[in-house]
Amino acid sequence: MKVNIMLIDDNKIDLFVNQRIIEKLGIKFNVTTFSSGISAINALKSIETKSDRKQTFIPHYIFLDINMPEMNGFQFLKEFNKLNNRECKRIKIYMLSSSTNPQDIEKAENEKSCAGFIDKPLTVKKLNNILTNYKPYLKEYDFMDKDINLDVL
Amino acid sequence: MEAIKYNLLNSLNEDLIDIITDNSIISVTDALGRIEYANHNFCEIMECDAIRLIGETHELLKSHLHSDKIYKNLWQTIRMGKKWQGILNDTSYTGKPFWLDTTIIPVKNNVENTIKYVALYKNVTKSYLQNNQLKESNIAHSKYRSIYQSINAGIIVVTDDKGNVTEWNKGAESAFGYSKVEILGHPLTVLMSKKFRKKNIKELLKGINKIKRNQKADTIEMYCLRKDGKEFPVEFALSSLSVDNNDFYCAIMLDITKRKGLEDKLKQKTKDLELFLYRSAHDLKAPFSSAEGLINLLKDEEVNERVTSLTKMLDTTIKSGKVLVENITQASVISTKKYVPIKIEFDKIIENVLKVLSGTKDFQLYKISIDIESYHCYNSNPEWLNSIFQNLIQNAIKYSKKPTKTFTPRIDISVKALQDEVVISICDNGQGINKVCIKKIFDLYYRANIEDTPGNGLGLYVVKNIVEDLNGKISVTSEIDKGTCFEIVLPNLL
Repeated sequence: MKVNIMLIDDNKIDLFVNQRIIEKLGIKFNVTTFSSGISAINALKSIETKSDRKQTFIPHYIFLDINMPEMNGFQFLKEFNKLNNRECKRIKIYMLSSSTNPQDIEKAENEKSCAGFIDKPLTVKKLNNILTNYKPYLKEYDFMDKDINLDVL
Repeated sequence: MEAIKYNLLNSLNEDLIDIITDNSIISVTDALGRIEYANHNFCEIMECDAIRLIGETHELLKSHLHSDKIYKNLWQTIRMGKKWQGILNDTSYTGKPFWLDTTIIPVKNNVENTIKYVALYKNVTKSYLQNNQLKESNIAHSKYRSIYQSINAGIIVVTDDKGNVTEWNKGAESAFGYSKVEILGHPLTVLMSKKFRKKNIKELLKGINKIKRNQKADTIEMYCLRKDGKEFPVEFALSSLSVDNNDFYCAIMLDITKRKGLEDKLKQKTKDLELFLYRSAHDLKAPFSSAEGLINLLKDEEVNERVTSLTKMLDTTIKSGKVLVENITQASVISTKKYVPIKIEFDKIIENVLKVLSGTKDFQLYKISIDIESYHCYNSNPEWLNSIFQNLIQNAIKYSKKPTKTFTPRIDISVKALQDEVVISICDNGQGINKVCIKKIFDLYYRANIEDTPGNGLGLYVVKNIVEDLNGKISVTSEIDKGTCFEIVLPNLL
């Protein structure tokens, strides 16, 4: 089983960097990237309508940028909270931003659907911390596939 | 001084003449105005012996040649044989001025065919002077009255002790739009903005109480109401006066609409600038973070040594750029953000700061002592306190002396939380600051040591700004080669 990660960022460079960092982790993964919150939320909405769940990309993790045009990270979370299917409720969302504005951090931490705040840039170390932090959940996602050995990382 | 007896009128009883001459002021002059007789009382007023007066021109009556209107009239009258009456004034021989209510009666002597002028006087000097004083003060009074009533620049309103308007000048008229007739007797509150009336009255009473206690009342700013319903801000000084046991309050106001407008504009402009600074600094962080991410990837690429060393330099450059931007954000955050004070846990903040700084070179070689005495709870903005500690400890490390076998750099951090204040001191045994630099260290963009140490001249400026915003004080003592000590005292507001 692979780890599904969704990256949402309006900055193409950041999307590229984050994707490369994930690659460096050495786990099996699927990454989908969205350069706007709106297209990402539409993709998540479409999960509900698709019948073949196995073929559908359902992320385990979302790394969400805060400062984006049209729909920013917080507005995305608002829309995300309106979705009501089981799969979506399991998704861990991390806010990823270069903003060290304490208000943003506090706001992110108070969001019930937000699992944490990471300041940019994403590094292998930071990503590793997140994935190992949630080991108890891995079982649920059947991450104990022998391909993935998180302890090594 | 002896009056010379004169054979005045034979037909009159000598005694009667004596009584009259003793109890009045009399002089007799000939047709040309030379004194022929002056009684004792007259001499007394003139402060002169009668002998010296006799034969002289009567100074008081002057002569018909005198051009002054009053004398012309006098001589014209008596020459026509008519009685003259009026007030004459002169000075005595010693220079004392006097005023005499004078009646001059021409007396014709048919036998000698001469005319003599008998003058009867009444000394009115005292009442004349009194009258004059009164007149002068009346003139002054009406002068001041017309001055203040005609002043257009200042608004002057006088009220009685009940707050009813009793005086009203031109300035008040044009500022408020009420004429004097319309406003007199009405309470002052009519002139106050309805929206701020309660607050205004409170301020006013505060001022009056201060005046009653003989304290200097501050100028009060308030919003006033024009007759046409428009509101305008004034600044006014209150004073009290007392006339015949009646208390009055005088309010001198200045229309500050223009100033207020400028003030508001300035405030808005400052706010905009601060926001601009904050937003710019904040937005600049994003590209720095992206570059940092790229460099992290670049570091992992296997390339030749030259590229590796260049990458390292690029990394340093970008990191310091990020720190600069971070500091600017902090500097702007101070003035823009409102906050709710929460309990400060000094141990946690210091621990946190040390953790952040632990990446500094040779950090484990520093001897850092932390002494926290927290007798009282201190509430503030933890972010700001964090910034204070971070900047000061960072500086202590930055300006330390290199650790050697015999020298251990030391940083002593102490916090004393007392009932009304918190005293924070951060001391080191580092390079010290020389006397010339020490005055400038809190200035924006000032850097003491340009060659060796990295920095952007914002750290201490940020600290100073925070301390000032918290109404605290910061002081520094330093000795070259011995070390530097920063002390901050912050009042405990709760």
